[in-house]
Amino acid sequence: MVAASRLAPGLAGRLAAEVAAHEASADALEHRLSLARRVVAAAESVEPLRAGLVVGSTALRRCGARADLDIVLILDDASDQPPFASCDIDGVHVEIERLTWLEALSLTEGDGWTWELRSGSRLGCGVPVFDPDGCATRIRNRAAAQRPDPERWESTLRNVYLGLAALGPRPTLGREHGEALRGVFDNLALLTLLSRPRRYQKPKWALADLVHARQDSLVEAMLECYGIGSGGVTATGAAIDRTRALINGLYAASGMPTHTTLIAMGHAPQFAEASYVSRALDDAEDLAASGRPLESQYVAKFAARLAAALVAPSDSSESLPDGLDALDASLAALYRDVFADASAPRRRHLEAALACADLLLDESALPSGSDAARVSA
Amino acid sequence: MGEIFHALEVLNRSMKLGLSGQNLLRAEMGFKSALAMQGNPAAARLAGDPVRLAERYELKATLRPRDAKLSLDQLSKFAGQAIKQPHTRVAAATFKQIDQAIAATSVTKAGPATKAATPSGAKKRGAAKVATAKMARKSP
Repeated sequence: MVAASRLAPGLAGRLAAEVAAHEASADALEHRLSLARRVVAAAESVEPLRAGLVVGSTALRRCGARADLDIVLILDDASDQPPFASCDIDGVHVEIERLTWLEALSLTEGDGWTWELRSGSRLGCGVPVFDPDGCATRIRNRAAAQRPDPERWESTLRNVYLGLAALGPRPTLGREHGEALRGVFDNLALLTLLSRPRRYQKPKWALADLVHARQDSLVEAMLECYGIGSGGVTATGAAIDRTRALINGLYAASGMPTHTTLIAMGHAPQFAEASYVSRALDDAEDLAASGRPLESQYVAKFAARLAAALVAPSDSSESLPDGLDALDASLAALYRDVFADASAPRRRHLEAALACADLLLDESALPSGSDAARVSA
Repeated sequence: MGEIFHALEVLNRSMKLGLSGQNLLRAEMGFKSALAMQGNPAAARLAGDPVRLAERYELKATLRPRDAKLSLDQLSKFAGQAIKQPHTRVAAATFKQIDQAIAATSVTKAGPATKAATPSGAKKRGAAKVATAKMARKSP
């Protein structure tokens, strides 16, 4: 089996540079951590704390100057203080969450899938600013020991292999096969991130976290299969505009509110899936505005795939655009427009996907506490 | 037939051939195949010519459920083989041979009055008929 992780100087290298350029500087990080220490010290004087953690974008060093500072206070027992509070200190908006020690243990326990693992990882990847008894270290170890649900994990990896086995024997690969390969790469990205401490946060951070996990060849192949070759303003704007047109068309055909309305609604449990799609497109716009064009294009195009999957018949074995064709040819044309820049996949893309799948399979065979498992994490 | 393997072992030892156990097994299988080829009448051998092969044989396959689904390890090998050494990839020359075989058999079924038969097809059909007659005479 071939190791999936190797240095790729092309697109993955450009993306790595893009991600590194947006990491918070050591000074900015230290400034935010000192603010957090002040907040935690003030809390510790009035309530018995076990630990204080900085979580979220600051802990992962991807906070901008205006990003919220998220702090989790871990207490012995429930406090008289409200579980959620916020304040502004030195121009930084601070969000405080209180958890009991039992709640923190419960969030970092057992197998799970995207949501459960993300909740555990939020604490596990936190930076302790107050930890007299080593509770934060214990939480981090527990979160790292959590595993993706074995049945769903196997089923997803199975689909990856079956997808590759279906594409492999074809003498030539056409652009229409790119759709199947994008599905394979989406699943590989999900499995790869679920198996690592940061887990799968959301589409916005998928590429940055894959870069962090040194999955260069996976990232390279993903970007190529998504037709992302240029980090230019035109290409980024086109990806967002085409996806917005598709999403609004799909929403209108399904009788849902427009994208803008869904974003304005905020939390919209009655349109949970569509709301997730719209937030992904919103994130793509935010990434573009922050000077992260490659990630922005990926997130916009991924949002298009999510949106099409919402509407296309779920029992259909056809590809997403073919499924849309059956509903409305103009929607299928809009979808194909989103991926107009993607060329036909090459055999090396299949090989990169196979290497990544084999790496995941190898890792899954390792006992969770083994040295090799820890190194791969 | 274990004697063949034993004989090869003795030969390997006495002549210091340095054959591994796997190579000894291969040699044994090769030897057995050669014996089997010698022992069978020519008529029982499969024809190498696709036209003659298609004239007398058809392929039948059965699809049945597995006792257990392929494991992830097996799926990995399956996908790897499909990508790197696909068995189902057929060379253009083979397709041409298959087309010729299909054309030849359809002509045979249609009978001698078919005008679409090409001169080369007719020649092959004639050759196939002679060969079949010869094989029929040889068969017990």
